[in-house]
Amino acid sequence: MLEIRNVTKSYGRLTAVNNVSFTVRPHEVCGYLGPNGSGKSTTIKIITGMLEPTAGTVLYRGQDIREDLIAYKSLLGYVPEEPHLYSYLTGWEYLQLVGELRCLPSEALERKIGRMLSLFLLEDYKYAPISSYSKGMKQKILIAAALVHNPEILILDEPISGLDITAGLVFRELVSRLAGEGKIILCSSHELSLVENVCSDVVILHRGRVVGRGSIEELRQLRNQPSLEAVFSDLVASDNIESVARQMFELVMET
Amino acid sequence: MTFQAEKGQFVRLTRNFFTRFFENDLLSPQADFHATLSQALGLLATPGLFVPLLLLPLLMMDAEAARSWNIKLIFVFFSMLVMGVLSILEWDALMLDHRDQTILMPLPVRPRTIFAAKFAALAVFLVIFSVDVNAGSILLLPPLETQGNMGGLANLARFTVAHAAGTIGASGFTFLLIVSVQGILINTFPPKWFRRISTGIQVISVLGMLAVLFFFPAILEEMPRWKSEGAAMARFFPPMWFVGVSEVLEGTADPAFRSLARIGLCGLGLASASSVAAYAVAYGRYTRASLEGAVDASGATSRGRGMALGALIRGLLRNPLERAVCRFSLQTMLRSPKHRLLLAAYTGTGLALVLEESVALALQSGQAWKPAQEVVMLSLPLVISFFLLSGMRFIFNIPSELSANWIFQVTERREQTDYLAGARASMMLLVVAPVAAVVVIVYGFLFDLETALIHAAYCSLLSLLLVEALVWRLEKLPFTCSYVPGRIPVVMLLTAYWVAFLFYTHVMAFLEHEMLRSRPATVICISVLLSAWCGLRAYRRRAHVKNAAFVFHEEPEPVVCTLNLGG
Ligand SMILES: Nc1ncnc2c1ncn2[C@@H]1O[C@H](COP(=O)(O)OP(=O)(O)OP(=O)(O)O)[C@@H](O)[C@H]1O
Ligand SMILES: [Mg+2]
Repeated sequence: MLEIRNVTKSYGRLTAVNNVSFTVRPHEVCGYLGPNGSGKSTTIKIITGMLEPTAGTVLYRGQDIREDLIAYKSLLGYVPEEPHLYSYLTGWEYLQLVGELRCLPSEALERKIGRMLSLFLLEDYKYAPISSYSKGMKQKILIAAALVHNPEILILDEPISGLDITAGLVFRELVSRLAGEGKIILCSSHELSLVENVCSDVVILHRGRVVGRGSIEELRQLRNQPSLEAVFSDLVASDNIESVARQMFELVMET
Repeated sequence: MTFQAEKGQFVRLTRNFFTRFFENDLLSPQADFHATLSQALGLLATPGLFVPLLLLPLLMMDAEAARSWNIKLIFVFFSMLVMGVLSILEWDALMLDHRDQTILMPLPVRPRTIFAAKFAALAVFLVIFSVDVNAGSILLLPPLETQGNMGGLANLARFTVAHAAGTIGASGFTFLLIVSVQGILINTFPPKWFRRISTGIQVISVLGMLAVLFFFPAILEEMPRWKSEGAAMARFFPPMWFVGVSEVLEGTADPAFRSLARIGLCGLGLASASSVAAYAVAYGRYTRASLEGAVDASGATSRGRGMALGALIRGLLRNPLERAVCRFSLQTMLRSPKHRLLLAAYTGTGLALVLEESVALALQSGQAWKPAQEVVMLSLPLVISFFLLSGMRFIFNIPSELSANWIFQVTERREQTDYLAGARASMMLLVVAPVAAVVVIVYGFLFDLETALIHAAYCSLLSLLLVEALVWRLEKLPFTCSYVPGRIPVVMLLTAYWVAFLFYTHVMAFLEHEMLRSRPATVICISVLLSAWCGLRAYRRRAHVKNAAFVFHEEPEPVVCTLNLGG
C-alpha cells in the first residue's frame, strides 16, 4: 500500500502541491487528474523520491520511503511526462543501460529487451539512435524502461501521450493485467477514456489541492453528474467552458 | 510586409541568435545570458592582458624590444589561436539549427530576414570577440613601444592602429576561414556525411592548434632565419602575414614584411569573400537538410561497432552495474560530440608533447643516446596516459543531456563501489589497454620484445595506480550532474596537476631507467608496483571506502557576491 500523507511542496512563494493525501492499494489503478499546472507531476516526482516534499510523507507499507529510498526505488517503475532520453544511444542500448542499472542478469535482460522491442513494433529501429525516433517511439522506450524489471509500484505520468491508437489500447490492457497481479499503479493522464477504462479510483487535483477522491461511480453520484468528464468540469472548471471559448474566439478575431 | 516591420524582426532575431551562441549545456540551465557573456568576455580577455603584463619587466625601458616583430608574433599567434578554438567550439551554432528552424519556419518571417539576422549575429560575434581577445595587448603594447624617444601622441596612435589591425585582422581571418571551411563542406558533402566529417574536422583542428601551440617556442626561434631567406618559409605561417600588416602600418622598410602584409591582406580578402559566398550558398542547403532532420541525427552508430564493444564489456565485466556505467561512459565519450571534442583536446595535448619530444629525439638519432634521452623516451607513454586519464576524469564532470539523468536517479542502488568500478573499467578499456598495446608494438620495434613487455607492464601498473587515485571517490556519476566551473581555484588545480605530471612521467621514467639496468631490480620494482595496486584495491574493498551519495545537481554560486555595504 502506498500512502501519500499531507504532502506539500512549495517553490518559493508558489505552493505547487498543498496538503495532498490519498492512498493507492495493490490491485488498484489510481487515476490522477487535474488541469495543467495543478501539481500532478510535482506530486509524482515526490512519490518517486526524486523530489523532497516541503512537508508531509510518502509511506510504502507503512514506512516512510525516505528512510530507505534506495530499496524503495528498486521496486519502482516510472514513466516521466517528458521523454528525456540519451539521444545518442540506440533504443536497445538504452534499455540495456536501464536493465543493468537495475542489476538484471544479462541473458534474461537481453531476451526481454528483444521481446519488448518487437512487441512494441520497434524491431526495425533497435539499432537506430533515439535521436531519430518519433515521439511515440520514444514514449514506448520510456514505458519499456519502466517495466523491464517487473516493478511492484508503477508511477505513470501521462503514459500514453504520443502513442497511436493501437499502442494505447495495448497499454491500457497491459495496465489492467498488471493491476490484476497486485501491482500498485498510479496513473496521471488527461485521457479520460484511459482513466474510465482502467482506473478503479481517481484523485482530482486543483491548484495543488485534492478536490475529489473516490471511485468514478462514487464521484458521479456524489456530484450528481452523468460522466467523469462532467464531474471533472464540475470540480475544477471555475468558468463555463462555453464562455471561455467564446471569449477566446472573440480575442482571436480581434485583429 | 512593411520595411519597418521587417527591420523590427531583424533586430529581434539578431539579438536572439547572438544569445544562442552562449547557450551551452555545460553550464547550469538557469545560467543567465548576461552573466555568461561577461564571464566569457572576461575569460578570453585575461590572457591578452596577462601576457603583456608578464612581459612587462622585459619590455619596460626597452622600446626597441617592445617594437620588435617577435613580440608582435606572440600576440598575433595568440589572437588566432583563441579565435580558432572559439570558432571550433561554436561550430554548430554557425548555421541555423533544427530548433531555430522549427520555431521560425511557421512564422511569417522572410527567409532573407532570418538569413540577414543570422549573418549579422555572426558579424557581431566576430567583432566583439576579436576586439575582446586582443584588447589587453592593444592597450598595453603601444605605450611600451612609444616610450622614450618615440613618444608623442601621434606615434602612440599610429602604433595602436597598427597593432590593432594586425591582431584583429588575424582573429578575423581565422574566424572567416573556419566559416568558409564549414560552408564549403556543407556544399560538398551530403548532409549526413557533413555531420560526421564535422566532428572529424573539429577534432583535427583542435589537435592541429595544440600541436602548433607546443611547437610555437621553436617556431619563434626559427622565424628570423625563415624570414630572412626571402620570406619564403615565413609565408607558410599565417600569423607572420599579420605581423607584416602591423609592421607595414608602423612604417617598416623591410621588403619581407611588405610581401607578407600583401599576402595577409589577400588572405583576409579571400577569406571574407569565400566565407560570405560559401556561407550564403551553404545556408540554404543546410536549412533544407536540417528541416528534414538529416543533419541532426548525431551519434549515429554502426551496428557492428556497438555490438563489438558490447560483447567485449560483457566478456570482461561480471557485475551489471559496473557494466552499465562502463558502457555508458564509453558510449558518451565516443559519441557525444562535445565529449569527443574534449577527449580529443586532451589526447591532442598529450600527443603534441610526445611529438615534440620524439622530434627532438629523432634529430639526435645519429649519435648514441645519452641516459637523459633514454629517460625521455621511456616517459612518452606515461605522458599520453597521464593526459588521457586525467582528461577522462575531468570529462566525467561534464554532463551529457542533463535532463535525461533522471534514469540514474530512479534506478539508484546501494552498491556504490560497483558504479565506481564501472568508471574505472572505462578508463582501463579506453586508455590503459590501448596504450599498453601500442607500447608493446612501438618499443618492441625500437628495442626488443622483452624490454617492450617490461615497459608495457611498468606503464600499465602506473596507469592503474593513477586510475585508482583519480577515482578513489566520486561524488558524481560520470556525465550525470550539472557542472559549475571554477569550484577549485585554477592556479591550485594547475599546480597540483603539474606536480603530479612531473612525478608521474619524469620521476617514474627515471626510476624505470634505473630499474632496467638489472634484472633483480626489474623484478622487485614490478612486484612492488603490482602489490601496491592489489593492496590499494584490497584496502578499498575491505575498508569500504565510504562514498557519499551521488549528487545530480550542483548549484552555481552566485555570480556576483554583493558585500551588502549599502545601508
Ligand atoms: N522546478 C519548478 N520550479 C518552480 N515552479 C515549478 C517547478 N516545477 C513545477 N512548478 C510549478 O508547479 C506547479 C505544478 O506543476 P506540475 O508540473 O506539477 O503540473 P501538472 O499538474 O503536472 O501539469 P500538466 O498537466 O501540465 O503536466 C505549476 O504551477 C508549475 O509552474
Ligand atoms: Mg505534468
